[in-house]
Amino acid sequence: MNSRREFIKRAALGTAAMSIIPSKAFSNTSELKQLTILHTNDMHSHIHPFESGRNKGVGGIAQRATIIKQIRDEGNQVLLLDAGDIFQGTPYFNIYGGELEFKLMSEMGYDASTIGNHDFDNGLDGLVRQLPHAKFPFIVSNYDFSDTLMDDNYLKYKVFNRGGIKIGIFGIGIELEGLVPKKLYGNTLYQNPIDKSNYYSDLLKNSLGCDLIICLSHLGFKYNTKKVSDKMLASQTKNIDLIIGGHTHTFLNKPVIVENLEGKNVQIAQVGYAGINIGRIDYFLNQKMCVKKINSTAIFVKKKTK
Amino acid sequence: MKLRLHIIYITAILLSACSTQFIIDSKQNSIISVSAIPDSLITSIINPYKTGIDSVMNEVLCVSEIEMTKGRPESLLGNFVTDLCLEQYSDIADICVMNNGGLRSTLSKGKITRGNIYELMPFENELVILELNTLELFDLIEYIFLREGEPFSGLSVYSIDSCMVLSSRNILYRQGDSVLMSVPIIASSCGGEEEVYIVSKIEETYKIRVLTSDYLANGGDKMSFFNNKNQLKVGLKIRDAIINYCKSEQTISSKLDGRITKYQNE
Ligand SMILES: [Zn+2]
Repeated sequence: MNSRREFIKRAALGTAAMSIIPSKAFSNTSELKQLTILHTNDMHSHIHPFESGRNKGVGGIAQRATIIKQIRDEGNQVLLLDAGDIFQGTPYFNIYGGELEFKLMSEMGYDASTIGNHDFDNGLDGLVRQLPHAKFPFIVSNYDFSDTLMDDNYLKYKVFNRGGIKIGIFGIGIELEGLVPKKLYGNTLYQNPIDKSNYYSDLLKNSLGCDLIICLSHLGFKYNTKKVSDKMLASQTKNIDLIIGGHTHTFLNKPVIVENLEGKNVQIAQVGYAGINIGRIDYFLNQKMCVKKINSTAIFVKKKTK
Repeated sequence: MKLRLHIIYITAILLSACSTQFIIDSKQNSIISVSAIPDSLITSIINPYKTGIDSVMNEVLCVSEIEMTKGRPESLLGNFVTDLCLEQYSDIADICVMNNGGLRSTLSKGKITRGNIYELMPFENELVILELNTLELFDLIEYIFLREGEPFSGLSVYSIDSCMVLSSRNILYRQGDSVLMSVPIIASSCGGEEEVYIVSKIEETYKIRVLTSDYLANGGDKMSFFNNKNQLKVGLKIRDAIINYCKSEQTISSKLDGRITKYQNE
């Protein structure tokens, strides 16, 4: 196995010299496959549209569900993802502990989420207790839960197949010390986000042959300090195509593009909080599973008033 | 045989090696607004939960005369919360400190329900009291200035260049159970431990009792001056402190009083 990977590496070097092959041979624009990525982050238990303030009438899970259904009805392949902090923010969490949030996300067909700092707010036992209501996996690659209740309840990564497109997803959580009380996260071990991202994106791309690599991150978009952020992660890693971020409640109308270690473009997306916006990124791939075009939109969710 | 295998591998690599050239359609890269009706299945799942929530959360606790939002360096909301907490424990605490990050919504003008207070303070954080000496108190003030302001009560502070000056309301100067005197602290620091200059008749060893949340006391938001301090739990969640206050006051309000000011020496 090792020697085979070695060989592939050498063969890959060889392809650089062979790039004289005209690019037209690889792009048949009339037959592009479309993959629609829909994403949210930092829902913070917001079930209903805001009732007052400058966001009055904005957001709402039932409204979001209608829009997602409409997008699914377009007939394209869809992946629906969340970047964590599902919990905490309205009495629904205080009284029902996240049960309703997980049930609704399952009903809407969420494919995966990562874990945000507030998802620890009722402790690891509080999170584990609600997991039976979630019909989607929690993916986090840099938390070691092996000495906790979460041990068998999460994935380090997952490969999704959507119409022949292989999408590799891994997740990155934020440092918990100083952010979440120790008694809530218990023996969860936080591991270096950049090391783990490089490890899992390499695994997904080069060993498992994924066409697109997505990181669900709860690190936060950017900081003025040395604290690791999505921007830093994008620039210090390889193989990631898209980072779906959260935590800093940053409203991006379109993904921000950052060059990675190899000079390739990484998109960073994040859509504020509370389900005010849904992020939509449409990838168009050719028959060789190469991305030829990307369209991005933030969808501002409003309550329809008659 | 060996040669054929090589050919297969190289072909596979060519197929999977994408050029990074793709088009990002800039016309599409903008926000669109969509008005939607609620999905009926989702609504039917929510309804029984909503009934349970409404029965508890729609209780009107008080009326706010003004809209209160959080902000820096001081804010109507930050002053409101820290003032009311300190007021409830003024016999056993001298100052109160919280964090902007812990205030999760605004209080609008008009009726304030139990649900509004839950949205403001969703966390189960409890009030605790810790003791700081004068030097540590300046660490706290410096922290607040570095953060461009965090909610606090019981002090008035200003900075001028690298110096910080603080004054407190009257603080009971105790020895054991007996009160020796009641005087305000007035002190200044221009950085460095020896440079704390205390104007009032308070010794450096005097302890200031700080009312705060167990979240901050346990290392949240990196308030390192709280590290390894004994914590006295007062046995009340911050949320319940706000609810109690609202229920007892009927009408609530807040004002900015210049408790934190940054002067620039031109
Ligand atoms: Zn977060």
